[in-house]
Amino acid sequence: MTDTDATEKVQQEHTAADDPSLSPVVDHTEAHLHSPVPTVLHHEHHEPAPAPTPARPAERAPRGVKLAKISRTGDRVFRSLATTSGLAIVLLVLFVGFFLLALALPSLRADQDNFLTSRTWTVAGNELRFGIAGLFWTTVLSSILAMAMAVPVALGVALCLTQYLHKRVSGPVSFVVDLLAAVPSIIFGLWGLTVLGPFLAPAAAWLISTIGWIPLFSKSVDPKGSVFVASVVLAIMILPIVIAISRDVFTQTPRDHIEAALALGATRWEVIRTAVLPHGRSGVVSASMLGLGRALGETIAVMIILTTPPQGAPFTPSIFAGGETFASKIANNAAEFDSPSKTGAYIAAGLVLFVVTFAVNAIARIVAERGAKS
Amino acid sequence: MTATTTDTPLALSRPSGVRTLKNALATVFVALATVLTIIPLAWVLATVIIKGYRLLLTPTWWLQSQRGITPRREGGGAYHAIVGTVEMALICAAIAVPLGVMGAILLIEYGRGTKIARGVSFMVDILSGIPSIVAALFIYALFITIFGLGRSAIAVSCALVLLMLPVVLRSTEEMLKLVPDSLREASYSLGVPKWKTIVKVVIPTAFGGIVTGVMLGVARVMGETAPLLILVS
Amino acid sequence: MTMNRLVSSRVTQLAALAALATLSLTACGSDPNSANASGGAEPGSSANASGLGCPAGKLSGEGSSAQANAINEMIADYNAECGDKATIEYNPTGSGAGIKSFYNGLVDFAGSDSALKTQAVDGVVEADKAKERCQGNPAWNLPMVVGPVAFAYNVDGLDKLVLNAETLAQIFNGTIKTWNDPKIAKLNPDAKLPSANITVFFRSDESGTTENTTKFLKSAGNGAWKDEPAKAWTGTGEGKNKSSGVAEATASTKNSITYIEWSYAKDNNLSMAQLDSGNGPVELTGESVAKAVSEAKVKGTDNDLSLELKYSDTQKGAYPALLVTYEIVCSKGLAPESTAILKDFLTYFSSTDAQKKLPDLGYAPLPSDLQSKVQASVAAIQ
Repeated sequence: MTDTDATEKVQQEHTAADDPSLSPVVDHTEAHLHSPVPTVLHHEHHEPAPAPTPARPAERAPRGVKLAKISRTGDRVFRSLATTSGLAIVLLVLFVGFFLLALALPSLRADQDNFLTSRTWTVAGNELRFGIAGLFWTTVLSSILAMAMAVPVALGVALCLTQYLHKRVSGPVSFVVDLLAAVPSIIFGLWGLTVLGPFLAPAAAWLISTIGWIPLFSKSVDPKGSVFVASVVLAIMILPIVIAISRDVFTQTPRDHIEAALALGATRWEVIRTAVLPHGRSGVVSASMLGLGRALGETIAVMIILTTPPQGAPFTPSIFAGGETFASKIANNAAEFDSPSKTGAYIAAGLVLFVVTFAVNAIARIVAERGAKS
Repeated sequence: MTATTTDTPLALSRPSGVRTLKNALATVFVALATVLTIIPLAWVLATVIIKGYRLLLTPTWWLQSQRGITPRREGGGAYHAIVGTVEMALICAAIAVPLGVMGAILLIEYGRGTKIARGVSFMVDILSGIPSIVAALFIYALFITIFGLGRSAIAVSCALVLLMLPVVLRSTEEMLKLVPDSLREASYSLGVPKWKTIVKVVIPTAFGGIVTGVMLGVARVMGETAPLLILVS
Repeated sequence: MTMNRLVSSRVTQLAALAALATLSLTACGSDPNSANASGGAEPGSSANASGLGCPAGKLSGEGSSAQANAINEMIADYNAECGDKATIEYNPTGSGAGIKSFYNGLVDFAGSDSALKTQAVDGVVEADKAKERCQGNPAWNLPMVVGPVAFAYNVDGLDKLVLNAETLAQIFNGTIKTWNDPKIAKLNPDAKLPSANITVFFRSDESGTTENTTKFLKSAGNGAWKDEPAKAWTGTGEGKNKSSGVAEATASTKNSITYIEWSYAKDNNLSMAQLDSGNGPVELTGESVAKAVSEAKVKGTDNDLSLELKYSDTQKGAYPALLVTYEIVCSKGLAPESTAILKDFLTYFSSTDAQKKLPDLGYAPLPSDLQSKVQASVAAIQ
């Protein structure tokens, strides 16, 4: 009787406590509490303690157990803190997006050229003519070239670290490779301009002389400031990201698959080809996409290396031409943001870059999730 | 079952020539890739170290600023740069770490699978895709164009928060996911309230990983140049 | 971002140790001793031999990067003279940004390659906004630093190159494509000019140097330069980032030519062309530039000394490709502490001693009559 009363009270209290977000685990745990001793616990908590009569305490609590008061305020406060942080993050991102859009719109409306297809960029003075076609081309070209160069190499290194090297060696080598991620981009820019550029000049000249008839490889400016050199530097910069993620993915290849392949007499390469790579395919794709995202947003290294073509120069698809990416254009002209319309034009360019980067990251995430499910 | 009459020794068959060749080629390619990766790193490090090590050994480098030193004079050091970097990183961490850790707690402890968690996660994805220059532009537009405040270190720190937050949040999230539920359950079964469980059980367990995440974020943020270009000079 | 194996516990400990060491260092650094600075001038106590008041306090300026080298040296020397009592900062963010910060009240003075505009640009009249900032008093443009623009080139075996504004305009807009073009040969009858293509380098970032060079090319170029002078380059060539990028590119690329501030050309040991403005080739020296500046007309009224430069038909021995940077100050209405330092610093800046040091840095000193006008304006600041 007491028990049923107590049980009902507990059930009421339970619904009153109302924690739908408590994970099933916790609920599960709390269900355990529906046994005599713990119900007394709840019972004791929610009702004013009656004056203890000599017989009562012995019935309510087992001897020797001190029942602590459970306060809900701590939980409430903490939970609201967490929710506030989450909301703050959401609001922050939304704010960034809308704010930038609001600043860019007046300039976009005042733009006399088509924003998406024009290659001119005149924002000084009262007449605005700007378009991002040239920027888009250079950004995409340099990033994709960087990815094309970096992904095979990164794959090779990740395979080496996971499949070929002994564990004790693989640790330090991993560390050294991760160190590449720690080098600031400005160092890469300066190194690329002064050291790598002249070094690659003969290779570039050779490429031009042999396959220069393909427009992509046609001769253009002095190769030191070309998209080619910038792409090589970008490739070096995104290597650590792709390697790190691929390495993680390859280590998670199911041991059984590998052993099964080995048992069937596969050589190491065949093991990789049949067990490791298919399993890690989506992870590698997502890693490349993340690397691509990084290459798209890289500012300083590109700004230092790339040669800017003069206004009104004809379009050339060559990788040996100069150019400007979104990021380098904004950084180059940051000192002269002296009017709202000018700033708005650059913000519009920044927004396009943001959208492109976000799309790339989203694709990476989708591919990764799809891979994880299968 | 029946032994064969022919007494062929158990010759361990080797893979065919083609397969061996492919295997060898793969090994060569992989080794080449690793060497190719290490070369630029070694090169960059060597260039920087050879040209700069002498200065690093002098106390002036660490303890003097560039005040009064113009491009034509020798002397001074990097003290101001060290202080500046540390300052900005600390301010940025002070804002980003609590936000990131609490956000991750929301995602894992309070909101697994709920709509709000998915929304926050999506927003963090967007945030992680912001190029540093766009974050800098945003803070420029906000602080300098709209509010009219001057260029300052705190503007840079705020821009860096946008860049550090996703790193801290994601890595904390991963670490919290790794904490076994049995630990949480044990704590609840002892009557520990949820918030205390998180603070005293979950976070200490994941602490190493959280610190790693924070350090990764700080490392990323210390090397950012673009926000400085736009917001300070 | 995935968890890197970057941190095994040993590495974490090492890294933490390194971080701690750096952090503790931040507690004990200091500024370099100002006795390190040039000159060996004795730090005075309150007033000193050159009559400077040496007040204490803070002064901040922002603006043109072309005069950054000069201003930084001047600040260092002034502090050496005054025993480091004042803190003067100059942030070379560019003329446009400097003027904007000035009329928004964020800095005490601006450095600019061009005087405050009196026409509306983008709905803003700079002169009016500056007046607002100075609490209704006009802002003055005081020329302090004359920065010649050198036309630096890199051609093997060519020690002396003579060009005029028209040829330069044609080189820079792509009309003249090779070094051995007859127009260049006419000006250089004795030189061996290669048949290679000319590589032009220009500033890819917006720059006052570009603006002034194009002003020179337009007014002295005899119609060869058709575009309006602007901070953004409208000619041909390859763009490099900032003067340092342009200098580096020219120094390392054969058969190239560019326009660059004299100080950067000197620092990078680039050969510079001589300008023929109708009276024979003139080499770029402090005196030749001073002669050109002395022909400038003062456009401003009263103590405002904005100049109209003469780019062509200059006297014999004058080098007219130059830019003048102004310090834009409030005639009245700036906070008293800052005004005291501003006046003192500008007095030092416009003194003969200080101006004498400028040619070493790649700038030219003010000619004496302009200098006395500037000194009078500085004294009139309240």
